[in-house]
Amino acid sequence: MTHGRAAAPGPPGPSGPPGAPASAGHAVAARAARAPRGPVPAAWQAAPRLRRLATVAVAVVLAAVLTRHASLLLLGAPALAALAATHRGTRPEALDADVTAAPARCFEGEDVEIVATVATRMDEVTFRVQPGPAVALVEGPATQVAVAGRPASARWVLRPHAWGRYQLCSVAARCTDGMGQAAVTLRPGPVEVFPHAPPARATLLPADLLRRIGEHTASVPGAGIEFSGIRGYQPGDRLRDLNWAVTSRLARPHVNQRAALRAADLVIMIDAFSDVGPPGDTTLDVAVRGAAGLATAYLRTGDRVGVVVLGGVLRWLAPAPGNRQFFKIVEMAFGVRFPSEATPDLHRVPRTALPPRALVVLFSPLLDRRALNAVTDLRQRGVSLVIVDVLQHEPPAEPRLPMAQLALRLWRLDRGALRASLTGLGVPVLTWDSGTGLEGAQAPLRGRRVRAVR
Amino acid sequence: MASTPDRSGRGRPRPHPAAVIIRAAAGSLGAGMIILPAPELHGRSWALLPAGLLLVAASLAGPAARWRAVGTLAAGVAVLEAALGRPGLPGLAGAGLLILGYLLLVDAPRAMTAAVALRWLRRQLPAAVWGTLVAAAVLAVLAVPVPVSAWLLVAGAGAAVAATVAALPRRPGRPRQPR
Repeated sequence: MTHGRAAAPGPPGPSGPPGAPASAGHAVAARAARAPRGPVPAAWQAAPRLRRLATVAVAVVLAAVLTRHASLLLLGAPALAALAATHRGTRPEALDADVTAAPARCFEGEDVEIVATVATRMDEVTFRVQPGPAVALVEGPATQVAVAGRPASARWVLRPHAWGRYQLCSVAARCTDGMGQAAVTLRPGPVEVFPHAPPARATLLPADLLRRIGEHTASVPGAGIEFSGIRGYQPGDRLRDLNWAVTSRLARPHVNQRAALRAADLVIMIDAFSDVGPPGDTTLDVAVRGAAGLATAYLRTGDRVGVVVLGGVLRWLAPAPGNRQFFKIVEMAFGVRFPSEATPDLHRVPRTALPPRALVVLFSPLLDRRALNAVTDLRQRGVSLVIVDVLQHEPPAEPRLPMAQLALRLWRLDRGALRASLTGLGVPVLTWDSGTGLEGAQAPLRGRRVRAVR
Repeated sequence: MASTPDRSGRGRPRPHPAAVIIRAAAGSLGAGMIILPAPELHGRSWALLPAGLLLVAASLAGPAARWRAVGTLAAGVAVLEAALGRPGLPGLAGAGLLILGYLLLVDAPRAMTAAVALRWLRRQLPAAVWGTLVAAAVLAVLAVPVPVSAWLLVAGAGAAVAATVAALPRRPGRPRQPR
């Protein structure tokens, strides 16, 4: 299927890694999410009009009998005639109905076209779309009517505001044919909505970078472009590196030294233990968006990015470079929404998933004790760790109730103490307002290296 | 085929003018079916008039419009008014036609564009025409004084039997075997 704007695969711009859709978008944009197609079983019942006309006719007959006035039958005669004139209808056991959502993959905030069709011939079909939470109806009235159409169809454009793999809507179709009416619910196949990645830069770096060549300036001399110092000339140095000012002043040849360019490993941890907030803007939504933003920034600079999901069964993805890794990370994040009481055992994370000298960025609302235990565990393993606080909303408190206000103040003090204790332990805690880019949240650590603290 | 105007679905949806016109017509017919037998009412039965009008209004707008029973109740109030007031034959025929028109229009879908509304109205025509014809026939039968006759009784019973036989479902015939 191809559907105008909704099917436009184009590059996601700032929201996706460069060139990423070339591998995924083009291939999938033309596809439509379609539920397994087949006849939809229909349970027929008397149409409301039939019931109304029959009720009025019976009431008239009763009135005529009770009052012993045959002339009252005149009241019900037109209703009876209308009943007799209505054809019985075909009443098939199953309706040939279908609903599609195209494209089957998109980013948050992009449009998805929904088309519902009832191919079985009906007198009247009323379609009503019911968008899911965090899905907005952008185009088309929610209720649409098709009269004597074959096939009867309706079209809407929806805009999802939450990432995940889910059904954007359900379509209730009420089919009337003659004296019968059947209601069926059509559900399109799930659509994969990728998180909108906020703008971020690969500025969070561990103190010790890897020995692999990359784009980050290391503290050791090498063949980079950043100036790092001056030393005496040694055989083999390039003449173009000679620092003529120092050489002429000291009367001995000196060369400029440059810092090496090294790569970094980034492991993003997502705290999926708690998920609070309004639909589409929960802490988990924000965490995955932040993870997508960081992953995009680091993958763009050629670094390796991995992910570890804390919540329920511990899942991880070993760090790897390339644009495909972005989609792997996001597809792993699709499965994080389920409640669990299990406590993760970080020792089960293999060395490949949490390599030494990797920078770990934990997106967490800092609400669950198990996540804080994981932070302690990571510290004990000597990991360079940064926490991004993704809690956006305070607990609701009735302004008129003094006790509620007091509880809210205590909660704020508790949060402040928790953040201060983490900072005191050497774990920087960044606050990120999801309405802005990640660059602002990263600013306090700009120019600093994150050191591993035991 | 579907009514798919390209208008934004954000905010409170505005009803289409065609749907509003149909709703207004249903309201007029409903008010007529309640008011027409009202002059013949006596005493406390006058309370049926405001009750009926309220039910008609509620069946067309407001939160109660979702319940289909409200429209049926309004038509029931009209029948009760006619039973209590006992207007003349033309009045009864008129009230019956108004009830039919109201019941046909009150079921109209709320989200119809002009083209869809026209098509929908066209599909209601047979019921309205048959209702009018039958009302006229019954009115003529009731208006003409007929003497008591055994032949008429026999003819009526025969017509009833014929109608029953015609209405009974038939066993589908077996297809012919090819020779």
